[in-house]
Amino acid sequence: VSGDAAGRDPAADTWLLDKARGGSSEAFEVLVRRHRLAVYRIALRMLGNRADAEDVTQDVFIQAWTALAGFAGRSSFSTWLYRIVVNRCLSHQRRHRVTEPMPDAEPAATTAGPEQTTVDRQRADATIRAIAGLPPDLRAVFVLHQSERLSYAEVATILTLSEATVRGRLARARRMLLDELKAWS
Amino acid sequence: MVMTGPDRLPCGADVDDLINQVADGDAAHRTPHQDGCPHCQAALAEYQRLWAPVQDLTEQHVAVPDGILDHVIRAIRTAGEQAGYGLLRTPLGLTRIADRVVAVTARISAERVAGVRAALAHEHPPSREQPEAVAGVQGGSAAIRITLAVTYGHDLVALADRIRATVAARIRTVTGLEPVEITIIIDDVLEPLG
Repeated sequence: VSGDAAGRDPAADTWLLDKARGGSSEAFEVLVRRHRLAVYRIALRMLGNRADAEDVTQDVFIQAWTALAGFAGRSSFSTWLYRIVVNRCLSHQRRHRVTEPMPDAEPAATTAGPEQTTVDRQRADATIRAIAGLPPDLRAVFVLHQSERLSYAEVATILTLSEATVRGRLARARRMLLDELKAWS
Repeated sequence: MVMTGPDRLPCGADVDDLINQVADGDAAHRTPHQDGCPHCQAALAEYQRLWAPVQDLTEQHVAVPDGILDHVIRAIRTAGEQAGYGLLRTPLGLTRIADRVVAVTARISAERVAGVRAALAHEHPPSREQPEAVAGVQGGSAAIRITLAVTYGHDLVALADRIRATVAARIRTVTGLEPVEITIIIDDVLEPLG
């Protein structure tokens, strides 16, 4: 499937969305296939653990399917979807009162010895914890820009913020993260 | 988390600017001031070291658990969808292949043809006035209907022929069924991707 560097194709998404709103579950299925990685990755970085990210990803797509009729089409499908996932993650955390994320990083792909692997794993866990421990408003900006490589303008549209606010929050998030990582080094 | 450390280095450089430079992957693109400033060079090196695990995490491959797609698809598929089956007779018994399998195979192979932006092999729900059995299978034969959005500027007749040949070959290989008719509907043309 064609797309930009991140594999995105908003025009094809709009075409599929139109079919899905006409009642084609297959068109929606194709949209799910196209966006599931980004949605899951955002949830994973926002929440810090895979089980919660999996639950939220499923909920996001089912919510999107049921809300299709109400989608006004003023933004792109991905903007709308990413807004849903960020809001879902934040409400999930509020409901579950998670104070300490339970990181479970992907197995490190390394040829290093067992000791080095353990250190790498601990560093990765500390990083996941530090990101998931950022205040919610900073974390959403950080994850969308740093992990998903979305532009300031895209992040601003998704979170309905100004670009200046996005830049400010990103800088604060990075500074806090760096301070946290300093404590681990 | 407590924010610590000064906002500026002894040379006057803004700490946040340096952190952003590292986080944006631009640490190597030093300004003329940074080229001659030991404070900035030391800070950039330190931030790069501290930031490395974040960079690693960003570049880490994330695999989506298989169960997510299954769960969502089960939830959205309409209950009334009846599956038809193609039949392949072998000396040891019958193999039944659902029309849905044929439709998915057709869709995925069509999507991979250059110029195709999105493909559907099941465009309309079966309850509509003109039900389109997208992948009707009967015995060992399959008739497939594919609806497409393609990139503007392609020779559409040649593109349809390429899609038909690609899909037919794939259906034969994957399912063993014989595609007797492949209807291609070019539903829309989209601007080329920037």
